[in-house]
Amino acid sequence: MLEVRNPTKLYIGRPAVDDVSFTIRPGEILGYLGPNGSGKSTTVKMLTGLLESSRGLILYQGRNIRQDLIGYKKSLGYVPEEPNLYPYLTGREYLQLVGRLRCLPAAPLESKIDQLLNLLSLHEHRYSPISSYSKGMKQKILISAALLHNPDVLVFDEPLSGLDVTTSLVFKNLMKALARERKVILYSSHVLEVVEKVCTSVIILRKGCMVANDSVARLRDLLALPSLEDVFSQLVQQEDTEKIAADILDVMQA
Amino acid sequence: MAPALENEIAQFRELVRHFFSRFFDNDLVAINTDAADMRATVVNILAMLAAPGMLLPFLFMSKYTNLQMQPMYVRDLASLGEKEFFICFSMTVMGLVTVIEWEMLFPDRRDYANLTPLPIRLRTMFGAKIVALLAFLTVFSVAINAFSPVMFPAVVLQKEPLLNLIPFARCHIVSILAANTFVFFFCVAVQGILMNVLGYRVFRRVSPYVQFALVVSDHPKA
Repeated sequence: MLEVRNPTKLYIGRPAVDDVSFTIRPGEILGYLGPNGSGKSTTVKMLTGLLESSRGLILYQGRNIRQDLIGYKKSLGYVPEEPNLYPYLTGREYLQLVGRLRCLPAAPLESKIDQLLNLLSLHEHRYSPISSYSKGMKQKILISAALLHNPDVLVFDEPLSGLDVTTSLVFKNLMKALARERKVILYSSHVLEVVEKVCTSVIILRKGCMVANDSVARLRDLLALPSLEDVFSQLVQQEDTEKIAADILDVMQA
Repeated sequence: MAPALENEIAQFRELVRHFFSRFFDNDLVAINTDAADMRATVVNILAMLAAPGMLLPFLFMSKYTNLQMQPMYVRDLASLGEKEFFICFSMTVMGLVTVIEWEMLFPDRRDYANLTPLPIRLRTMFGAKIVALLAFLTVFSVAINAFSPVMFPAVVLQKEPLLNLIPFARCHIVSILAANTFVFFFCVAVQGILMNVLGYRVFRRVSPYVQFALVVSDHPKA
């Protein structure tokens, strides 16, 4: 179980994330939503140990992750928002690097890499440098790297960006399968439709603060709205989006 | 050996290999090439760096042939200019190579993004980076001076017994390695100090100017 207890992250005295608490149990997929700059990526970075919180605690299996960060990272798989991979390595070499740095045994690692590349339709590009990959292909490499060591905790930050329709469908099914395997999953995204379909519960952030934390169905019921998109608009968007779109058109045509 | 220590050593070796290969991940060497092409380019560059050490001593051949009848201390004094030249040449090339590798001297954002989520201790990461830096310094120092420590003393001493060549070569190697180490770690120190004093953003902005200044002032006599 992953417990996030009131973590706050301050940047030059200003909170990017303020007192956001939640718990993800094994088998749960928590959708993490919010507009740009709402603190999603900061939370993700704290959860993956890339950033230390200014206040508050993150507990995994009841222990502060900072007390045994290496142990926690061994059970963590992380797909970051930006595929900032090493361009001169091939896809296969990158996965070998990650696998070796995770100290996975050599023979099963090679076999896993080949199978994952095959399943994600990257096998024929396995010896091409990453610099020649499209964004979607890089994303597939990141997803493979996050799954190589069969982690118990998975943190996905916009994992579908750049992926083709088929791989997106595969990924959605994979998320459900991982949840059935009792993995702890946090899914941060802007794509409300996917969150609505795969997540067991949802957190909505606004300006670093949590404005909703419940199951999708309960949020829809509570606010008497038909979809998660409407719930999100109700809780987060303070602007008239139709008017902004019309204004943009006016500027274009001026 | 405890499994945790064994794992840490395995990570360390992998990281040294990784950081070392990153030195060649730049547009001069690795643009649109695969690993085999990159290796060939690196070998070509090392061969180009080694060539002057092979050829330059022959330029001084006639001078030292004429001095063969002179006592050893006269030839030694006469060779001071050339000795200085070899040290300056080695420092200049090492400085240029280091400035070309400017972006790779410290772990960068890409390393942060890819390596920090992995279960690697900071000490392992920085230890590996230091060893990779030393390996880089050694490879380039050896390449730049592959031939001169033998060729130059041989040209100066010519018909002297082979044993007399050894102390000459030893001094040549020590001076050149010390000079290369100085210029290499000077660049590393400049970057490290600037990063800490200026912060990342300002450092990124001033970095090209610092590289320019280092290249311009690279010649030790400048």
